[in-house]
Amino acid sequence: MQFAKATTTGALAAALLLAAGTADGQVQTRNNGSAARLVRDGMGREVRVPLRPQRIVSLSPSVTETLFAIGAGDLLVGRTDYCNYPPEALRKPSVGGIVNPSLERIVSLQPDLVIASADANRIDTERALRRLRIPAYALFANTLEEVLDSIRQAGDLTGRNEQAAVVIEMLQQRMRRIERAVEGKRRPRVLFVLWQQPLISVGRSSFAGDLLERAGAASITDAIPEPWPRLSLEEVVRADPEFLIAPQGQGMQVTPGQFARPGWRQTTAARKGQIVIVEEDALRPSPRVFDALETIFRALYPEEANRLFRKTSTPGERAATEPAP
Amino acid sequence: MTFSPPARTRNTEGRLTLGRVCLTCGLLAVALAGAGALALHFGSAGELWRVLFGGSPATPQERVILLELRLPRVILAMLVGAALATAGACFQSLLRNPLADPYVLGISSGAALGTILTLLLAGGDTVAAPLAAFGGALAAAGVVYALGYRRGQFSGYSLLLAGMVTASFLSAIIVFLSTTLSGSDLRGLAFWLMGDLSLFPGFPLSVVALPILAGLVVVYRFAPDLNLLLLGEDEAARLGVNLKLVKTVIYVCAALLTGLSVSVAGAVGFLGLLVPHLARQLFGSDYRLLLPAGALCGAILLVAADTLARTAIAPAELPVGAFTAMAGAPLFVYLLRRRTPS
Amino acid sequence: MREAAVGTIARQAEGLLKVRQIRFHYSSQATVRQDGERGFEIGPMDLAVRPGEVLSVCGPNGSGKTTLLSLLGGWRKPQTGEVLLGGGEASRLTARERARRVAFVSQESPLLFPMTVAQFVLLGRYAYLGGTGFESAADWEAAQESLRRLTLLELASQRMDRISGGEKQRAILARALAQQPELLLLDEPTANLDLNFQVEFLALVRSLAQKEKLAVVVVLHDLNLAAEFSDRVLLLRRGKALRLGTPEEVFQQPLLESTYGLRLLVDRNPVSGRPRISIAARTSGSGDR
Repeated sequence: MQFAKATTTGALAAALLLAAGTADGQVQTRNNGSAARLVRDGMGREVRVPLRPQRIVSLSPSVTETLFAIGAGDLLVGRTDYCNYPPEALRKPSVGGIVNPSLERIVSLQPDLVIASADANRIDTERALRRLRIPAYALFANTLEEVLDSIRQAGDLTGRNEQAAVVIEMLQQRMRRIERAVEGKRRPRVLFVLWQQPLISVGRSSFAGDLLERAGAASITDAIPEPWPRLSLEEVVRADPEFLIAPQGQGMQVTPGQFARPGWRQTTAARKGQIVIVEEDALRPSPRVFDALETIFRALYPEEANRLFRKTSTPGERAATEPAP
Repeated sequence: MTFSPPARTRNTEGRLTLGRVCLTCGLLAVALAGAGALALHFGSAGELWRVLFGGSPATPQERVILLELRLPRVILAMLVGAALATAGACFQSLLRNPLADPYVLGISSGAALGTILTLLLAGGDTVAAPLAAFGGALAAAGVVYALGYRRGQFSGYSLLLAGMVTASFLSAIIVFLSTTLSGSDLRGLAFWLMGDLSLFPGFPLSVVALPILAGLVVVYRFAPDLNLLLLGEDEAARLGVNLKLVKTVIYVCAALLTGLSVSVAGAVGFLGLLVPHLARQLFGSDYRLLLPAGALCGAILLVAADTLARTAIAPAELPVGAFTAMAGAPLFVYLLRRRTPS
Repeated sequence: MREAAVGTIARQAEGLLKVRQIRFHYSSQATVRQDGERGFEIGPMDLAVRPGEVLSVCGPNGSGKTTLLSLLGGWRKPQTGEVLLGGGEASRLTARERARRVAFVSQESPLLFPMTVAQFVLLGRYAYLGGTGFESAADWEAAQESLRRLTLLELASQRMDRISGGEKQRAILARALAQQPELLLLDEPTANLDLNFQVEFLALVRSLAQKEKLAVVVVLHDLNLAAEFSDRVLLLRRGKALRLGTPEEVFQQPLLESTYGLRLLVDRNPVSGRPRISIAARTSGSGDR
């Protein structure tokens, strides 16, 4: 009797599984007739992408921003809950979180291309999309130069190569002139406080580390290879940073008394009130990071910054001293 | 032979027959089908009632969502729910402790560690993962057994302590290993460790489904033995149980069920505690009914919990383990306190 | 699983349980007896118990009485000699076969989950369960019969944790009976019971032995109870069989005094005619009762 029960259960289960396993995912039409091509994404994986994608889902705020920056925002049909810039992005439907987006929502939006960010999204998400035969392309940028390259890739994917080139040119100019301005100058000692308790900073190999380097800072964590090292307060006191840089945004708020605490208040930075607040959202690997670059540069090199920004006043530029909305 | 039972009781009370088991399980199976239908209906992409029952044709997207996303997930939830509930019931009998549960005892952590190791060494998503998870579960179970066994029996508290120590130790190793993972893998880990059915593996479901079903059937075959094990190993042996065989088989099966479940769904907690307890209240503690009914209840519960996880804050998804832990942890404390006077 | 080398189950005229020249000692050094001494040897011993006979095993604590029971039931194997159950070696039986031939009664241990008396007694039928794992009508009948013999039918649907100590012991005995054994072994079954329950229980055992033609071996520490309810007594001390015989033969003052290290008086119970053992003088010494 038990065996009869077992075999019936087994047969039912097998039937269900077969149904599940052989379900045809190809019924989804994402091909609007145009051909596809094979490219390598930011992680070196081969992806078959449409020549002219019409419906793109972004799985990361940095991707969303990049797409809008190159004028591909109209191709966007889906974004994550955290894609809050530019404001137009909020009008697009959301597919969920960055780590846990809803595959169902993505599928129901019928995208012909999904663009993810390799350092924000899970590889499992990309794998699942691939299994559903939805092209998933991952952008990856760990330095400012790589951000420029991912803008180029985005332009290439969406057919907005020219617009992308314009954006890249402008951003490159901004980056180079800061480079020139800090060349040969003494770099102030800086500590980037990613998180205060426990004290976590950024190492040389992190994205923020590259940002600091380009802004002309001498991060006191320069010798540390890990991307997010934990420091002790003693090390901070010993290294005595002249500037403290802290991100602010939804995830973290900087309070006035934060650096008045023992240990912190001994630092040159705290004594001189040299605390630089950077918009958290501007630390994404997207065009806005160049605003953060300028913010930091201005704080570290006020005279050079005055000279530099008085000279140029191109309308297309954004000089961001206030946090973006 | 005649006797006169007291007027208010029937003489067959307490007698469990195959018929009663089949009837109860039949009803539960219907409930499970209902839960499954509801789960297929609800989702972050909207309700598919009309497609399922209204008879209207499905758009291609709806077909993909139903068949490739929801259906496998629902099946997986059923399997994992049944597997973990059964594993919990097995450990409770083997270790003579109603608080035994693969999660509490650290056996899920052992399975998780096995899976993570294959992620690191073999790039994950291969068939090696469930195998390694099985191995991890077996090893953890062995450690807990060895630590908790005192003078021929399992002292209740020392067993739980052994389990918690094992779980903590393994979790520490997992945290240590996770620092070597790159950023994006790490993000998923926290979710998966809590128990997450949202992303299923690169290998076909049957790789875990068939062994789970086989494990359930084998365990069920030993239901009478599990009943007797509750009396203690000595008494069970005296009543005719082949201890070596039963213990080995049940250990291996419970570890298999745990390992396979964890390898695809992460460490969903407390199901092995919640479900047998609930099932005992409803169906009594005879394993011949408790096992199949418990398995079906576990399936229903996990399907329901997973549906909630998918829809509560849609389109974002919660890890299903969050729900089971929220329900299970208080239950654990309650059961623990009830036992203290004894 | 070992296959048993059991021949036909023929009850021999001399006795169902036959013990020939057994010697047993714990092989591991780690075993320390309760009194702190290293394991001693049990035996050499010869024994035969007939169906329907009640044999009491008495002796000071730590004499190896419980170990002897496990040897008789075949759960342990003696290093030399043999224990024959109905002609076949007891230790060669599989667990299932043994459960059909030998039943063991000791003190109750608390149940993990509640069950009724009927369910408890039904557990004794495990060794007879068929392929489905469910009890057949015959199994059910056997359990009911067992309940009836021990007058537990009214309590059948009561929970085990809600009945008295005496009733629990009866339930354990009923479960043992449900196994339909040929040999019944009891290890101090009355230790925690009130006197009236002790008497009632042992009287029950004795009448069952006679009616069901069971061979019964019971370890008792109470010498008077042993005297009242046994056909024969085996006196053990540190594993050695000091004497085997009727209560009159075994319960003799000099022997008992040297066994227990206590001044004793042995006379005759005027009501039953059996030996009666009383403490003659207070001493502070060894030999617990």
